[in-house]
Amino acid sequence: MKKISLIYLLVIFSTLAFGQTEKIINPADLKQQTVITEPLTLRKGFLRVGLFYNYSLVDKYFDNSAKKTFYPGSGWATSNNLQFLTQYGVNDRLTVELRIPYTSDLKNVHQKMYAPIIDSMVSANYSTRGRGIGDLIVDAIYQIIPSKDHKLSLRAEMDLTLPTGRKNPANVVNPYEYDAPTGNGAFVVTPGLYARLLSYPFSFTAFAYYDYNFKEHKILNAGDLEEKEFKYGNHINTGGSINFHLNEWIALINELDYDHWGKGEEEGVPANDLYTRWSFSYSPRLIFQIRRFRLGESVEIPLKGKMTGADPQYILFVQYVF
Amino acid sequence: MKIKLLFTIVAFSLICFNPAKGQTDTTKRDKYTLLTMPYNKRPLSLYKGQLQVNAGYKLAVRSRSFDNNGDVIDLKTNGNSSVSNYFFLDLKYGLLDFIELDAATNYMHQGIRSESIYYLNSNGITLLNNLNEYKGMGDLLLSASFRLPFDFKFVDFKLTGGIYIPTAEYKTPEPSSTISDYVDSYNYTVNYHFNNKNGFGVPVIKLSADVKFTISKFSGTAGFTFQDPTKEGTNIRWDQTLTNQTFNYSSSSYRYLVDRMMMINASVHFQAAGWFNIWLNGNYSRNSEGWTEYRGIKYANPEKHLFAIEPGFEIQISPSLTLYQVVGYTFSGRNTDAPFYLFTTISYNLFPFLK
Amino acid sequence: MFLILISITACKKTSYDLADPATAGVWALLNTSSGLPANQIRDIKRDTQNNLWIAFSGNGVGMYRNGGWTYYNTSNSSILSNSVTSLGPTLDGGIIIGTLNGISIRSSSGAWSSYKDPNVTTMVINTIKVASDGSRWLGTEGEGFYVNYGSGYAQIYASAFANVNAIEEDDLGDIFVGTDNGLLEWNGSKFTLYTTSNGLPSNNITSLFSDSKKRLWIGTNGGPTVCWLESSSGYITQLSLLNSDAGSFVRSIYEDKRGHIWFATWFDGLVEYDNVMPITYKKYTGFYEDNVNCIGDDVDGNLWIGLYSKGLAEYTLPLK
Repeated sequence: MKKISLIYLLVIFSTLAFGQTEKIINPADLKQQTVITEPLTLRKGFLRVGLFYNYSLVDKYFDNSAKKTFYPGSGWATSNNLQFLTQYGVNDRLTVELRIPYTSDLKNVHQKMYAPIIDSMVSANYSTRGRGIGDLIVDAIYQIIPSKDHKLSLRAEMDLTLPTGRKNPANVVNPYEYDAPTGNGAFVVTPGLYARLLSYPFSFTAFAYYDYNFKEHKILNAGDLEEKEFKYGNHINTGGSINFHLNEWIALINELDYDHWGKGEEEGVPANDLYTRWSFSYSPRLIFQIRRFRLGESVEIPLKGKMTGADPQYILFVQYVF
Repeated sequence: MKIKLLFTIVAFSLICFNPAKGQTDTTKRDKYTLLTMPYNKRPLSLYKGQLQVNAGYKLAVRSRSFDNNGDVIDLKTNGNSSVSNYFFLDLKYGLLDFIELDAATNYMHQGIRSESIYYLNSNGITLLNNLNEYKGMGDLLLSASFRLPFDFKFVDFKLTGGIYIPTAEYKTPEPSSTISDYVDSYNYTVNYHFNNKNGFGVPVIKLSADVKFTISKFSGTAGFTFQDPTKEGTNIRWDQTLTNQTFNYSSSSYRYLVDRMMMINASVHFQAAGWFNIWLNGNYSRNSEGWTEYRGIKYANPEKHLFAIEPGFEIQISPSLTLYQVVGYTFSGRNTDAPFYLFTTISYNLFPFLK
Repeated sequence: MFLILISITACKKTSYDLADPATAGVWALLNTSSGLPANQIRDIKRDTQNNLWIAFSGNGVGMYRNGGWTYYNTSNSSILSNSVTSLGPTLDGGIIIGTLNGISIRSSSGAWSSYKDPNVTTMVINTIKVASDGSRWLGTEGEGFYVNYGSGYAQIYASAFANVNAIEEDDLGDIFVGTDNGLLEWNGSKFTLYTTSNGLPSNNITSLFSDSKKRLWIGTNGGPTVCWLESSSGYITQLSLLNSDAGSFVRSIYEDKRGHIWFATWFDGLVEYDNVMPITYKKYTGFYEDNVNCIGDDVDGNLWIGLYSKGLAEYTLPLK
């Protein structure tokens, strides 16, 4: 209820605050268009580079009954991800993209164990750290219906995730202390559609993506010695957003997402620990367009879910168009 | 994350060179001029007839704390780190150019875990988990501010007096402990879950004094805040008994006195552009003189000290809407948590009665 | 603002002597180095005048009051013997001191008297209980138990119940006698016997305690668990102390001001039961020794733990 109120409040304040007239776009300003007014793909010859920083921590989750619960036990986990992005406009309707992630995840667990029969007490700290390059993603984005004012525009995307990140645990001391993998270890193909209706200063979007995970082999648990065949459950991501300018150079994006993960498999049979889960989240984003620089901050707030994290994810990014 | 946020703040200030536009003589009292008044020319209180609504969210990551000697305790390695989510709402009205009325409330949610303990024997394993949850509204703060009764040019001074009305729940709710993974009397998990509220339970006086100086684009502020309870309070404490996997609870009352709080703060502001202000604030707080009764004996609450640095910025998005963001880093303290926090506030201003 | 100033000046804050939270949850050890006459503590009891009495094995008794000690032994008092085995406070402020051969009684005025059954060779006093009706019960080793309703001690002897290790009164006024072969309940008119067939973990009853929740706690020698008897229903509930495979030898049971139940054991240390989980204090956890004889508390609620060979441990209760 409180989240809904906050969302409502945010939207109300924002809608009352705008009052901009549409600006005539000069050729020199094409590279300074905001995230709301720019076309769905880069123009020919444009090069955009960007850096995304994603931070999240693990404190609460949605249990099997979709109830938000604290994780039991004394543990602490944080995830820091840095992603380098490059986009190039092959022509006015086709853009290719490369994303290179760098991951730094940390998990700490502290336990005290009493074993009276051997008269011993042990305080144990376990930490799992995953640091390194993750799985590369290459995209091709094509405008099926080109962007024009007051009309619906549509783009199709095809992403390919390459399992370049380390897929197996390394330096395993025990099942709770090891270097965690930085990649998923499998190829993923993601077709998607993204539609936008632009009515300055507003825009409305809707999207749907489907991750198809291929079968692969890897060590699934740190205590295992051999790689096993696995397949992660396929993933659907769909949603929409209502976006508007707060002023000429600040845009507010309000996005709602629904994600669903299917049940995964181990050795060809459904796996108990690769369970079906879903999540419904809200992401407000503030994006500042300062000449060719685009800076943004965003928070993804899980509203409801099943067997998914309930903690917000914080994203900062900076992009520049050459 | 801290470095990335500081980089963002510095990047903003370097990129935005344009001088302030549209900020003219304060004697011109049109709404637009007053609403777009930059920080360095703004008095410490609202203008006559100005209504301001502030809504904010603070995320505090509690991964360190300070012990009685001021040494840092790394809570991450103990698995005892936690996250605090704090929301606040504040309504201000400028009754006159030198009198301001304020009403504020807040909501906070945090869960603090303690070390998990395993008891191993040849019959099985018993596990003990512990969670202390703080959740609920804070008390309503009503206050009035008085500043110097003339136009702000270079110096301003403000006195504020207010009181926390104990509107929020404060009595400790019954625990919600559970047994899980029960196999037999040697193999089970006990999940302690203690619940707490955020209200003071008694009226608390708040007094503060602030002074502000402005020279060109630079401003400096300094302030002192004092908070003191008006009387002792009474709360309840819960005892629990586990019988056949079921928890039974009983309560007993105890008396307490809320800590007295004193805080001093100082900040330096730079008006980089008419719509963009950046600052660095430092504050030092001390909580003391409070006590809690246990078994008929009053035990003094440990004295707490905390020193924090807060860089922040203010962006005027539109005449009515302003965004504030502050990052907080605690440098030193005693007997208190040392969270890293990010505070985001949206401020909406209007003159509802001014045509 | 004016109203605020008035309310500030009108508020009166009474100054209190505030206890330091750092003193709570603290253990301290007293032994011969601190001035105690011995490190072997047999029993601890608090009389109705809040004096704390300590039985020092082979060295008489000590009375602790207002931070000071007064020692009584055969050289400075009329105590029957320095070989003190047990203590029992009377209802009128006196103390009954059990020894290896009879009892000494010190009244609240300091007068001494003694009793030994002339019909037995030795009268080893294992346990003493003064009931709420004023009757005095003595448990012995090999000679059954004695009851005095005011007109002298009468011996109750049966060979199966010759060794009496503990005597306690429950909240209904029934007297429970713990023996090597079961637990006897005296309701004023007849005896009822409880054994392992009724749910006891062992027939060798070594300790009894009636707590504020109307539970009669029963400790045994060798039973895998402790248990409590619900006085109203007679139902017995088992509790594992989670500290031993073979079963504990529970020497003494006590309840602190918070309602936590403490168990003094031989070989398995001291166990605190907070009504949810048992927590063990042993040498490997940093406690003084694994053999604990007895437990008591003073008027301030501080726990006193009598150790087998290391002296007297004092524990100020923690704040939570």
